[in-house]
Amino acid sequence: MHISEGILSGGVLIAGWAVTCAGVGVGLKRTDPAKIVRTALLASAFFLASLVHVKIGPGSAHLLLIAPMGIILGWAVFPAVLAALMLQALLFGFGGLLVLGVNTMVMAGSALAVYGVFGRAVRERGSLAMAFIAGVSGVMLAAVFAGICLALSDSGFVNAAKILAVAHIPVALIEGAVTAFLVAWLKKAAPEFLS
Amino acid sequence: MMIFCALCYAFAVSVSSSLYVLLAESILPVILLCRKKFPLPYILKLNVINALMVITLALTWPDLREGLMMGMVIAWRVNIIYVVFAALVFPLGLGAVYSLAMPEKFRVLVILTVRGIFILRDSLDSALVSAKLRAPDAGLMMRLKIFAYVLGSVLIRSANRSERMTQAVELRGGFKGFMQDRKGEAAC
Amino acid sequence: MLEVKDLRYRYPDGHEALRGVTFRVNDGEKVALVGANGSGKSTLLLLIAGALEVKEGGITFGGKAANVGLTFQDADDELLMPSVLEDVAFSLVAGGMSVSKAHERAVRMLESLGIAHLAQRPPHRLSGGEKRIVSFAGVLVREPEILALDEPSAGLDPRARRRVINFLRETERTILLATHDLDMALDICTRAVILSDGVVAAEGKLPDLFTDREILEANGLELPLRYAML
Repeated sequence: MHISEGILSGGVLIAGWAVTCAGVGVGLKRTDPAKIVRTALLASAFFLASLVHVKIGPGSAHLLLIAPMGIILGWAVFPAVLAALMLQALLFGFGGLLVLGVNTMVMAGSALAVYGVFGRAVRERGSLAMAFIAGVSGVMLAAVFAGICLALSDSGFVNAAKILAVAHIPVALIEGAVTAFLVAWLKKAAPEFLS
Repeated sequence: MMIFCALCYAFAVSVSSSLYVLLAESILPVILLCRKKFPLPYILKLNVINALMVITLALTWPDLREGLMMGMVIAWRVNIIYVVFAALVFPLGLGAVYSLAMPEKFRVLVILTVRGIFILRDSLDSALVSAKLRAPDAGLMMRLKIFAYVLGSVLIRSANRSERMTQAVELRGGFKGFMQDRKGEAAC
Repeated sequence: MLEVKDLRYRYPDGHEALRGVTFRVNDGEKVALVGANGSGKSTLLLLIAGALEVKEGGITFGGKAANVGLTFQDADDELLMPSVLEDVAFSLVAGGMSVSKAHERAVRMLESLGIAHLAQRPPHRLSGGEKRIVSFAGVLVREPEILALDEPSAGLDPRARRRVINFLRETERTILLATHDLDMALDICTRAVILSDGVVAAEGKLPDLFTDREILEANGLELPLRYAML
């Protein structure tokens, strides 16, 4: 899902950083200082999990975990994703620094949208169906946001943006399943974690 | 300062589409490539991905020739930007990040996320190895379930550990203790 | 002098970890807190250190303000900073000291413990024993009057364990040592309090208390290795 450096226009890059700064600002303001440690450790858990190769058929994939991050972190997802992507670039040389604003906006924005729409149903009622839909929606939203950024940068990217969205459907379904399994596990093993 | 300069340079490259401007902007990365040793596999991997991107753009662009040109310009930009970052920013490591001007809460978040990565890395790896040993022939659904259950377990353990770490911070005087910069100068 | 009187503690989930604990520790004394898992040792240390709020019962420090340094069972829980030096200086900076002065004091502390060479190392590159000594440094730099240690030998190899024992034997501070490692307790402490299910089950001088097989087994403990092998 990461958009590489050198592709997006100056305007989209600036807008990405503006949205990310706003999201991080609100996220930090809404995060109790006493909860910063929790946010950091959960962010590192998600970061490490997203590096895991999950074998799918003949190949493997990295999961984005957008819906789980949104549902569990809420507004703190913006600073958490920015921190994780920044560290990914600096520790592993993966992903860009200039395009960090847009990539954060795409992932955290999708996660936040999922939290807004499905958060209650999943956290309070532990609905597995909703968790599945949330997982699928998170990935598709991110693909759509990324596509919009590409299309706004240059109209020639429109077809590539459409292909990007379609190509993410299998990953979205897999993430839906993982989100549902995760919620089922948390509901049984640690229901207080969801509340 | 180095990070800021590199970001400005990268921005200038990102918005350049003129071949002459890109040529001029290529001088710095060429100098950097000559002066420093670069991991060749990294550059090669970058350009394999670039090649795929060029082909994809060419095939999806309304005009094939224009798409190919656009793809090559982007590949060129990517190489310039990554060489500049790899030479000037990545070697600075995390120390540069910690001393950047950013809200204190975010800086603490970054410091603790780094700690969390190193603390949790081994336990996540062990959990996945253990799960694999116990279910060596798991099908796709089972593998996804295992991944989700391992993730759930790591999340709970992280949350529990975070409570203990918060207690440790509070017992040691609170979050002001994070206000130390790498050069040892007074930060408060 | 530390005095604990009828201390009770119930966690938010309803679990009652302490159900009326009373004991006393004199200045300079080294006391072992022993008991099976879940007996309340860690909770007791957290209450004494002030990490948890005392709601029932009392903890007093002989009319003085509490100055307790607590080390956690898992050193990774308290090694927070990117380098050992910054971690040891953490509580000084948090207390308002300038960073440069805090770093100077931290360096002196590291030198006194023989680990000055670790100053710039990140915590994830330390061995288990090194992490433990660094966590001590982080606590000692504040010059606590009472050192409260939660399972300090957990996860240590024999050499690191011996190093910790020697260090704790040499210090003149009051020590409260929560441990399963009865042999370590015998090497360091002069008295022990056995906790069981949130109450004090037995209390007495060492080594006498640890030679009583009946009391130990009744509280989920076993004879220390040095006696078990006789």
